[in-house]
Amino acid sequence: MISSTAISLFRASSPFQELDQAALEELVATVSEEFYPRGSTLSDLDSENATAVRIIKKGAAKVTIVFGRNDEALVDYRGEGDIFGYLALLTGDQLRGEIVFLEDTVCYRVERQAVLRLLQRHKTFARQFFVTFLHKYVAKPYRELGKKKLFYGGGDRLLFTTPIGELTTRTLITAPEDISIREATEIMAKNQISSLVLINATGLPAGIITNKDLRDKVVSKGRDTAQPVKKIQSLSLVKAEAGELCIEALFKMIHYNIHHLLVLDNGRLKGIVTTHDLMRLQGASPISIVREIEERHSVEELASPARKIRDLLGHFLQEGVKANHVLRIAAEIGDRLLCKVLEMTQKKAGPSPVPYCFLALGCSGRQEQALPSLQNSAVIYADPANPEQDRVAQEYFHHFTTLAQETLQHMGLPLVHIPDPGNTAIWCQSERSWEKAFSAWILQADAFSVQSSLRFFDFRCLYGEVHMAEKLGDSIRSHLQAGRDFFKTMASTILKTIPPLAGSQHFVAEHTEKPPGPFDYSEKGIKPLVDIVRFLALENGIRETNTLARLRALRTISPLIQQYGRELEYSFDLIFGFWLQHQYDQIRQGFPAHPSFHPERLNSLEQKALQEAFVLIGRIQNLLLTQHYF
Amino acid sequence: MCLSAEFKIFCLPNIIFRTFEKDNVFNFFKSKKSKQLAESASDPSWELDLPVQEIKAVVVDTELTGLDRKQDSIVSIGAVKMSGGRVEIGQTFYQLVNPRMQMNAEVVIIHEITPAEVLEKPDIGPVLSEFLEFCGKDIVVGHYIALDLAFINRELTATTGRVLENPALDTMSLMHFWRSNTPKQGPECFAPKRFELVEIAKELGIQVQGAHNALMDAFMTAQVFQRLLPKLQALGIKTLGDLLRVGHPDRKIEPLGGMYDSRSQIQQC
Repeated sequence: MISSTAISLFRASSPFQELDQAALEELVATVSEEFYPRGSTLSDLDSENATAVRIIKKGAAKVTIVFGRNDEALVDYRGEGDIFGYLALLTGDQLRGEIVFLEDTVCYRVERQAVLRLLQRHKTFARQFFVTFLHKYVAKPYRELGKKKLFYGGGDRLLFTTPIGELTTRTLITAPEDISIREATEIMAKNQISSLVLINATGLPAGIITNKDLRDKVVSKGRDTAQPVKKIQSLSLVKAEAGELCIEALFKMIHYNIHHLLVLDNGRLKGIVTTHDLMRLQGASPISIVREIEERHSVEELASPARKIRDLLGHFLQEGVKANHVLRIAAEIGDRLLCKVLEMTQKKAGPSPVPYCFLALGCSGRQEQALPSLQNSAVIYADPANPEQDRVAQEYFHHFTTLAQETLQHMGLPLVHIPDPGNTAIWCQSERSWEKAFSAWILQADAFSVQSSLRFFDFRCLYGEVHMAEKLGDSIRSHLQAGRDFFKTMASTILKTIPPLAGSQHFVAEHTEKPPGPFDYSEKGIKPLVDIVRFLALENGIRETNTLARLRALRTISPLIQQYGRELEYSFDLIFGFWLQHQYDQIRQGFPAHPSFHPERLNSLEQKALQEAFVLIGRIQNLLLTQHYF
Repeated sequence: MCLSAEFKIFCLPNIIFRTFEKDNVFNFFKSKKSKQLAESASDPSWELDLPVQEIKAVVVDTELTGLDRKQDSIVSIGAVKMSGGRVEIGQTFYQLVNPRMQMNAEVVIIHEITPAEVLEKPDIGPVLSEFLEFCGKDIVVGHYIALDLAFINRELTATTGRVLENPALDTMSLMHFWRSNTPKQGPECFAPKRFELVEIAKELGIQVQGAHNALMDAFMTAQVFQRLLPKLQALGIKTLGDLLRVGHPDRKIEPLGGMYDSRSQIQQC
């Protein structure tokens, strides 16, 4: 009688459903029922206690695994009918992750011996156990630990799992830096390598020469090969630590537009990784899209890579890649595409009358935008000599920006919703006017100036003269130092937007409560988090514009972030994860992305997690309010 | 137990002190039987220092023909084992008993055991000896267990001259102890409509099924006990001794009779 509930749960649960009634009854006779109060954890159990599989009868748990340099915690949720403690069962080890119970939770506990007996006796069970189970439970959290390739043949996922050091299997060929070009070529030919690392007298890498250098600087220029190789080497030695994941290496390659990356292991040169290695690792890849973008020379040709960005985004989301990573890839590739478009536009519009810098603002400036767009951008141009020149510049940039916008739309990139309110037309101003605008906002320090200026504080240079953006940034930071009133107004303005139901205990629709309706996700969900972090970053004079980068920079400075930084980073991933999925779903269905978000599209665990994130943000808003300003 | 009774709720810390005082009084007038019990309490197998999470328990419930301790008798016994906070759902005891008396229609409706069903069932004697074997050296736990024990011990004394010697815990007393130590209002407030097992279970979020079946009630009680354990641990109840101190079957509503007295044990240690 007691066991009938257990049997029906087991029968519905993945590997156990293969068992017949007799086997189930036998199994359930060995099962015990455990209770874990909400908030308790399963991390500190002794190993005897850990070697059991648990099925959740009622309640929910969160599985956390701490790994890597950044102590990132990967989180997976388990709800009713889900199983945990599986890996410890096979290895007989301690539970690897930490399990936190999100609700009062009742689990059925199946002892290790009982499962092992089933594995021996029931072939179908064993098969089901290993196949479905590995995919569903182990692969999910462990793919980020780099163990996934044991279970998968290859694919994009490896990018997120493989430490870069693992790709450097070949012994690295190096040469002293004082050899001649001919000697270097001979070494490369003999070893069939495309690049040669040059080592200085102290044994440290001093430079690198690649096939491209030989082609561009020697063969085509007819240079004398007796010249020292030093003359043609590339000094841009970008390094990666062996423990870094391939995706980090990929970011660096995309960022510096290089094809070779030196890999160091504890400061010692371990090897070299090429884009080719990464390509081989994962087939069609973000970097191939980048390369495609670089190689295209017309708007029509760019349409294909632009579409691929969208597909890639969907692909990543499907694979459960963390929002943070998706956003970074999207931003890096998006920037490439935008730069290319601006470059083409520049050609079309003719030379600019004055030097200029194209700025990315708001979510684009924070690199938190899924698809490239110029809706959130602005132009700074060098101060004109006279009003006439100013007029010419204004006309030119108006023409320029309109052309660029048209090009993007022509490429089939949909208009995206911009979380930041305010004017969406592209602002084109001279350096002086920009500075004036900022100082006016900071001086006025009223709610209106705060609201209209917020997105501008997230600017970064997208294309053009970087130093102009840097100069503006410096001058803004010095203005802010003096404008304490501005912060006060900013605090009271941004803290007015409270995340939905942050105060309520029941975001998840309880029987007695009305389920919450749709809300503006970018305004209510994303903005409060971004605003808090921006506020603290500006207050502490931090240059970064990306929310996560700001959080990391703030960790050592702001006590508030020291305490809640981790949780905020996690909330960021969660909130943006749902946002990306939401946007992608809409774009795929052919709708323009709309911010209205209905929590009912999430399952109850996701709702719960989202609510926890909102509650946290609500709490930090309150802390900010009480600690800092009132 | 299926039938509700009214209870007076003690306030803490009074509950401990008052009962201690009473114990002194009871010890003073120790009956022959309680002397016997006191001897069994010195049995080293009851480790009062045993941490709560290592306790082995048998959670028990009986269905009766009525509430009269002299006239009525047991129709079924259900029990489930627990080790620490885990309910061993495979280790259960359930037996219908021939009560050898007329069964009142009102009671039959409650537990749905018909006279015809129990006619062929064994007498209480062999069932109880099987039950004692099932209990072994485990702590006996029940909801308002004093009543169950009164019936079990009456039958045991009649058939074997013994009583159930295992220490006993009342989930009702445990619940009152916890309740008197938590806020009377707010989210932590525990306010079941009545102190019937079903109401308490519902309030604790336990799935209620098959109420008034001895085994299902024992299972429900086990889950109540399971939920109470972490709450009690948070209140400083760390060992078996602590549990017995706050969870003794409440004698205030129970004539001492043939009932096993867990209090006297603690006094001895």
